[in-house]
Amino acid sequence: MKAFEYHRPHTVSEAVELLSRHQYEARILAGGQSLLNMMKWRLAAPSVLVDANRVAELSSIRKEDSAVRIGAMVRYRDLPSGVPEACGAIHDAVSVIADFQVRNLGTLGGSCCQADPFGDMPNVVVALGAEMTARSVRGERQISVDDFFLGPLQTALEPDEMLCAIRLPLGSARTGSAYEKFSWREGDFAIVSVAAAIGLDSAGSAVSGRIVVGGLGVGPVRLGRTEEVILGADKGADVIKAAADQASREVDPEDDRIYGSARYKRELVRTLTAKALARAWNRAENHKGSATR
Amino acid sequence: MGYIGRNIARREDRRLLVGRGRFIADMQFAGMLHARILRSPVAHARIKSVDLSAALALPGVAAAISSADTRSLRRYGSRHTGWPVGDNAVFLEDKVRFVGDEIAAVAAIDEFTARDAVELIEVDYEELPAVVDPEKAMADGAPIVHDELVRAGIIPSNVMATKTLRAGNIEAAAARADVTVSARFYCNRPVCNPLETHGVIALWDEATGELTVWSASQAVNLVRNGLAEVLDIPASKVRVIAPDIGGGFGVKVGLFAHEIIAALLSMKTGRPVRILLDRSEELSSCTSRCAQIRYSEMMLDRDGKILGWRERVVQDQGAYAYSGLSVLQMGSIIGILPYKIDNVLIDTFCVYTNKNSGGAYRAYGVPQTSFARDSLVHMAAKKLGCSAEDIMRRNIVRNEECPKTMSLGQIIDSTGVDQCLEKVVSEVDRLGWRKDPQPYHGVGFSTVLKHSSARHPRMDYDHDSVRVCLSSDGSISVETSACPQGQGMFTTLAQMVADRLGGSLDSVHVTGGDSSGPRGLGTWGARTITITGNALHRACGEARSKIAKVAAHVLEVDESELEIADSIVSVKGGSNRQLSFAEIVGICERHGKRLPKGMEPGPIDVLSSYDSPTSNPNEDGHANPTMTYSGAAHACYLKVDPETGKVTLLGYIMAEDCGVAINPVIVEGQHQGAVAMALGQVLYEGLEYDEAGQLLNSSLRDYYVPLATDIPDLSMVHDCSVPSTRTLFGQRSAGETGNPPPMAAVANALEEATGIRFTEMPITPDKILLALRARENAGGRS
Repeated sequence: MKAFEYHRPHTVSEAVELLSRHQYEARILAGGQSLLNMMKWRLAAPSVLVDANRVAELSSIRKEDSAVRIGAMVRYRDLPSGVPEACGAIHDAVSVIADFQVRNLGTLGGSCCQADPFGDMPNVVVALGAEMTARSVRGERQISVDDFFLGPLQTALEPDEMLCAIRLPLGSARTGSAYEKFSWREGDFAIVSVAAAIGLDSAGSAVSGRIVVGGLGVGPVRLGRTEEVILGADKGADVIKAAADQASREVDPEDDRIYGSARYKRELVRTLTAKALARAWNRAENHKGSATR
Repeated sequence: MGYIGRNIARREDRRLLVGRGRFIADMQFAGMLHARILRSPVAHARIKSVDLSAALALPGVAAAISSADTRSLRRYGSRHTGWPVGDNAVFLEDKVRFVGDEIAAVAAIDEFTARDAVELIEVDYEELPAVVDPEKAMADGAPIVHDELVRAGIIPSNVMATKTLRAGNIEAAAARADVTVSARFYCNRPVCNPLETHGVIALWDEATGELTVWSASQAVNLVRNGLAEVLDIPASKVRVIAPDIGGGFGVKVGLFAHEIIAALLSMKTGRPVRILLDRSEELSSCTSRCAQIRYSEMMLDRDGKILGWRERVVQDQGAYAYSGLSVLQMGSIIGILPYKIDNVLIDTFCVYTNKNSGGAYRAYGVPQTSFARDSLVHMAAKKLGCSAEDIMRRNIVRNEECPKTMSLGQIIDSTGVDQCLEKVVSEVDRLGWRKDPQPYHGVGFSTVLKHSSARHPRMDYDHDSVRVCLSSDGSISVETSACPQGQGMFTTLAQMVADRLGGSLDSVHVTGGDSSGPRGLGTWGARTITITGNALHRACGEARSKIAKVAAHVLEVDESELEIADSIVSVKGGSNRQLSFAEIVGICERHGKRLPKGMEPGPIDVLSSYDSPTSNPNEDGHANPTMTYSGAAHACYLKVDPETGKVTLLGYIMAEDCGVAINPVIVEGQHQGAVAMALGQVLYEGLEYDEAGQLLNSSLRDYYVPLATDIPDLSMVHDCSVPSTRTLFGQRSAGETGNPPPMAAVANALEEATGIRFTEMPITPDKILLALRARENAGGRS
């Protein structure tokens, strides 16, 4: 049996103190939906487990000026009631994550720190342009989500840092987002997923847009050239098709005997980009401000 | 007849539902050790050395074994091949032949310590090139999986066996045919994947030389004989017991290495040793459905009569023989039914590769052949401009022709399969599934006649025994050799006993799964309902006649004046003169003077055996390997998402002939389970290996079994049963008949939905979408 120390701090200060002391030896236990499986499979064998489930300050969702701040330990199941409709992609994603058991325990922060390339939430927070709040005994810092995910199972967090919150900006512009996922069976990891977020000016033209593809095995991938197709464009079937075609060209999937060939994944990227973008655009048009519902 | 045909609640259920089942993982013994097996991470390698010292030095480790401890053991597996030596042994010849093959094992105070210890074993591998593609494995110069068998002159190459099945004149049929359809079909490699993985506890008693083994096995007598042979101890001192078993589906038939390893570790330590395989081992290292490449050709005249069937079949056997040869032969003989095809030529090749071994899996080899057969029927219908069901009707064997001997020697005693076909076609029309064809929607059909017992092609016996014994309180003990795995078999057999003997159902207690009990081959190949059932008919008949004889004598009437029901023998005509079973047993056992003249005092205790009147294949492969044939026809209605290739099953209809259904609700559940399992095979499942023989999906994250949300409503089950004329209750099997038809039914529905013929299982969204896109690019329909 791989023995490990188990700590259950009640504050972030205590937690980061433990991380500071044990560095790479320690792992934060959030919802346990990934880490415990990895430990059972002996793919992870931390000698110190810091259980964050009693750290109350990490479990709240707060509305801030033009942002919503989600504590890292907020469970998937609690996201829909706390996150404004403007973050439609979060709502979409929660409904397709695994099963009830996982949604009852799994956390937004845990999913981001796990950085599973087939996970759902990393793609969504990248599409929403989140800001990640990390703390250590050295202090607090904000990490742009674009710099947070470094690769499969890798993030920008230092070994002594703990992810405390995910801040989702709520611009004054009309914004909308959506998440589309394809898997063979309900609740599976994505074979391909696409998160799209769009902001419109008063004339209805796109002034911001983010398209993020997941499931390619490398973590969330922003499609910069696809985003360029959207910027400045007015809504229409043509722009959505052009963006979907560009997305399909822009990705670089790998052949996979289980989940499908690269050609197939490109087809899925095209289909899912069109769907996600169309829905995000509709939502932006119908956007009624950023009130928490 | 009071109980047969009634939906009696399964007597097994309450105990299992409230958590009082007793599975291997529930069993505890004082001092029990827990063992883990080190398995090969590579497909093909010579083991140069195994160093157990670090594992043995770990605190809590009691023993460890590797090939140094097993070289003197006898090999096993020759039952299936007929070779002078088996092709399998624990840690055979210091070589590993597939990812998951055994290398060494450790017993420790708990499972975690055993896992830790296994990680400390140091192995020096000399990696060898792997053969993964069975057709390449047949080529000259291919790496040899069993070089030791080649050196011994037992086999020439990786081609471990060839066999040709023939009837009529295939060349003449080809010359006469108006239409010929052909394709290369690939049947994939799913695993049975029972809810409970394999597990075993072995307990060696050095003082008595007795070995007791509890194993999640479908065949305790086969395991007992196998262990005795391999370990060279008298079979009389080996006892194998199957407790509750959480599903089998074929993968728990026969001797497995972990059973031998547990016994060896118990012998070495003098303590009970348990091995529970985890899910990954269940996927990688137990047996799988025999994957096959079939080049199949069907010849027809312009009226849709099937004139000939020609095939070349290459079975991707994997690393060891297990029952693969018999799967290949039985599946080819039976799988071409239910159509009357006079001219047949099937060349079969069974080929070793560096993969998980093919073995028994629900419906044996019939689904492989059925997939090709009814796919070709559908393809022929397109060419002939008729419907697939027209061709099925034109060729299906009909009950009024029975008994009928088919071209490969299969004897159809009676059948409802023709009615099954009519029923599903009429139901599809009644439900209007084809009335207003929607884009990307389709309906497909398939039929089957499947064995209801399975005489192994290389075994000259196919029997079960049943012991019926009445106790002094009149209760009825029925000991069988059945090893049920969740089928509700003891409820079903109790219903048969109660009716045949005239006992009350509650007084009947049925047991099985213990090699100390009556002999028999176990529960597999759909044989328990027919072979155990017939043995039970005999045993109960004999007990009943003794009861009647005693009662007639005591009541001073002729036997013909008696009636027996609910454990009471009474004189017909409303008389109150009667004797209970308890009173009769009392007279037999303790009041000998009241017995008829010449009858010796003693218990009512009858042991009867039954061997099926079936046959082994002759040189042309002709055989009737089964008591009788259960029939089915299915219809599948589905739609395809043209943007993702995903298939949604919209409806499914089954019509089934299982002869006299003993317990209809159990039968229905069996059909539903068989279909769900088959839908997994055709749309989702299968072990996948890369070119180096590395297993790509050894966990349930990557190995897809269908979820409840993927299975359509399966409540449309229509009973088209015709009693068997060969079984003593008129019964046929039910558990496997539902498994073959979904393969072709889905593929045929997919052709209707997309215009594309899919010939390789599983038919995944990837294959479907890319085929749709390829056709669009070629200018086909969009």
